Amino acid sequence: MKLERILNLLRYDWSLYKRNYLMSVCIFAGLFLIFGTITFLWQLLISDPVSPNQAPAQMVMYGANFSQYAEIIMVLLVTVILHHKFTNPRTATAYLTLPGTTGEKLTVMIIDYIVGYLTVRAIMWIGLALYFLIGALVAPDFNWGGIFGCTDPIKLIEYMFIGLQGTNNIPNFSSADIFAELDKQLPGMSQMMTDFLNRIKWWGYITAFVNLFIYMSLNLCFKKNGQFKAIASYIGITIVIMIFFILHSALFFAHLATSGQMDPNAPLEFIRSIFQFALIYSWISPFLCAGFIAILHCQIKKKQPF
Amino acid sequence: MVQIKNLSYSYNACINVLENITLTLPEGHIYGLLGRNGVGKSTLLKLLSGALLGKGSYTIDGYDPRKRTAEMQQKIRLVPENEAIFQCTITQLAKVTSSLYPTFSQNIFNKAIHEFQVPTDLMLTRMSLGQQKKALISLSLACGTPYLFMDEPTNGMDIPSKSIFRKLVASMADEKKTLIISTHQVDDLESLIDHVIILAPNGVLLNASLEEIYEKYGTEDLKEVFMQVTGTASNI
Repeated sequence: MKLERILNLLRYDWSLYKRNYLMSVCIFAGLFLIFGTITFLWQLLISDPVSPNQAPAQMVMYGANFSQYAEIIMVLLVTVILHHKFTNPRTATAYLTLPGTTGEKLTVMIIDYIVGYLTVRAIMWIGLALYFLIGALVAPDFNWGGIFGCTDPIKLIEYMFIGLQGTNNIPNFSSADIFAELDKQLPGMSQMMTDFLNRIKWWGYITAFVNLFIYMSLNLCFKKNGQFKAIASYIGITIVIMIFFILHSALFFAHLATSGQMDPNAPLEFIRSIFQFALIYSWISPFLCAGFIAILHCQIKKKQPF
Repeated sequence: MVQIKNLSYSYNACINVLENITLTLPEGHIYGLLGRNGVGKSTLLKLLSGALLGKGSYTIDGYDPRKRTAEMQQKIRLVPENEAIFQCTITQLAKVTSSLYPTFSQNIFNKAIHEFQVPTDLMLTRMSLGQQKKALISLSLACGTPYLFMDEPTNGMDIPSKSIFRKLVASMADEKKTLIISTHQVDDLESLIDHVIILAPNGVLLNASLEEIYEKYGTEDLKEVFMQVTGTASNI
């Protein structure tokens, strides 16, 4: 592998695809901010927090919920745009015949992916910052110090950049009130939720790496039809699961925020099953990825581009 | 030298495009690659450039195109019939492409662009088909690779541009360069090529120099030779 050739290939990528990349970044940033604002306004309308301390925590959980799953979609889509060269037979031919070893082109793809991933993270960070700013402007009476008063910058950065749903890692976070409330109504639920959120944290890392591998595999097979179908079905399944999970989570937390206590008639098993489902999803998602990789591996073995 | 032995390729289990192709093409010639529609001319060029991976044995100067080594790819340039059109000017494309080919010549690029009268500040996506063709052919000629494979290069070109194309290619041809031009427009390139290959679905119908063709068929009219060869399905 030659560094000079890798840099030349990166320059080739950036020169020819920067318009598509920048346009898609703007579109996704706009969509993220719009969805974030709508989500916040919806929460503000339906929520009736027990205390001002709880509203910021709820907002953070909503925002983190949305952002963690939206990022999977956004990263895939942004890097698909960057790798338009593999989804079109003409650009695929042009790229395949360019001087460069497979290892060098793979390195370029990894860098493209990292750039896409960091871009999405940056968008989310800006979005979350604006999200809280809007919240501070619209609801100045709420206690935002619980968020902005976080004295551990590493924890704050970790939260912002890793999209932790966990609330117990930030010392000044006031969401402990919610856990205390949960424990009153649903014994053991707060512990289950904490365990779930901690697992989500690690699966977030693993899923990010698995997404990287699955994306590399999709590009390596170079088969236009198969690649498109694989991407579409993977994204389709993820969207369906994501929507289902977010809707249920949002309804659950909205109900909790509105009433300050659980509806005593709400079936406990149904609520537990939501978390079970989320846990199962967090386990299944990487295996779904692995399944796709296995299917695509057959194409890679044949080494038949498009 | 291009050496091909029992090359086969199929796009899927049902469609065998090429079967048992065996050819030896010494360097320093301009080959015309002819054949009926769907016989695999474009596929052969893509196989030789490494864009597709075929079965059998085929090498270019000892390199196996399937390995897609950088050294091999720097020696080969493919000009497909339908090229990728990027959102940039030809000058911008030349700038990023030139860094990948050690043999790139800015002089040849400038000369070709000037002769073809290609607008250098217009985005490729905004050019006509003919202008795009001329721009991208100029770029490929400037890459200066020892092997240049062109698929229907004169499609979409006006008559004066075809003449300019012949002049440019003839000026660059030498004993170290090998061109394989796939075409249906035999009239456009008859005066350029010095060796003819006619493909069939299950092999090579003809692989001969113009002198050999004249001796065998008594004519240098390639259209007539093509009709005879493909009509009788005989081999040389």
